[in-house]
Amino acid sequence: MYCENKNHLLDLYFLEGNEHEHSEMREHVANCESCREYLGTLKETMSMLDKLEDKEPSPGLFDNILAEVSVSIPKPVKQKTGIQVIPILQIAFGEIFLFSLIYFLKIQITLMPAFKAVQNHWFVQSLGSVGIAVLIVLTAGTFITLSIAPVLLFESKERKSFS
Amino acid sequence: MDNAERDMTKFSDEELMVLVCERNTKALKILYDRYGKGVYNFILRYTNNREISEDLLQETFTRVWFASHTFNPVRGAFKSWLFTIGINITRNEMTKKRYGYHYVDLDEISRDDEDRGKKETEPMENILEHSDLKDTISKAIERLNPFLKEVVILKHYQRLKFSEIAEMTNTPEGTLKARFHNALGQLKKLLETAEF
Repeated sequence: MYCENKNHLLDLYFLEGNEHEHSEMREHVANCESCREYLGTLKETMSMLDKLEDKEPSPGLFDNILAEVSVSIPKPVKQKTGIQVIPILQIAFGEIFLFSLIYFLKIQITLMPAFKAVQNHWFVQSLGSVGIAVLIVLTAGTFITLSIAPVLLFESKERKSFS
Repeated sequence: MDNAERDMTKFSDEELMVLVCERNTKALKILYDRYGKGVYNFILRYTNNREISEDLLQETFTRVWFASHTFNPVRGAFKSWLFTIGINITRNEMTKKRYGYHYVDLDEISRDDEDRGKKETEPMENILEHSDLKDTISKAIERLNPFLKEVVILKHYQRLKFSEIAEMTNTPEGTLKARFHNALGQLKKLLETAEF
């Protein structure tokens, strides 16, 4: 029949818990025959178990693991930062291109000799007004897009650094 | 080993796990080099079968790879997390009926004891000197009930604290210590009898 301090005996043997508990336990063991007997059994059995040496797994085992995980390595996904700067610049350059094209066509048409004969026709007048409106919208759009692009670029970099 | 890998060997387990999450196989290799042998020997002592142990070790590290996003360093160390995976995989595998392991029955040992008479007073090593000692010890561990076997292997061979084992196995420390005492008694008797 063993003493009820067996759990503390395990702490002493495996050096768990604090030094105060260990010294108390050492004192107890000195006066408790059943604990001494138990400690002897513990030491003897553990020393027997120590005779089993650690073994190495096969050298190529990690290659098998690698083969298994490599099959399903997903392509690295680019973290989305919310606002993409490149499309914004593309829009701005598109706006400038359209502006230049319409303006070029307007000049070419007004320089044509046939234009003078129809320049006061209501259809040509309205077409001219629409063209001017489009030019105004494109100018404003280009201006706004280009002015906010640096701010968006900065924000996008900040988000990346926090994520 | 290239320069990048050599530098990564200085990384902590937690830093390496961040890289594993980013699908860095070199980080996984370093973790394997650090803990593969330990996990392998845990499984080997549990199963006493090299082939099964290598399969289960492979499964453990494959699961580390695929479940890397679930590792949370705040909740515990990587080593504990890894062994928890290893323990669960090994437990699941060993509960499959195909292995047909026969675990020891305490009454069976007690009956053997009564028959042995004088032999009991001899030191265990003397009793086992003519037999294959290592094989006998392996078989004795193999015959322990899985819960007892687990605590002996993790405590004695992996040098883990009872508190760590408690965390890994989700079992109170007191229960683990009781299992250890029980395992010790069974091992002593199994090694003394050395008849399987």
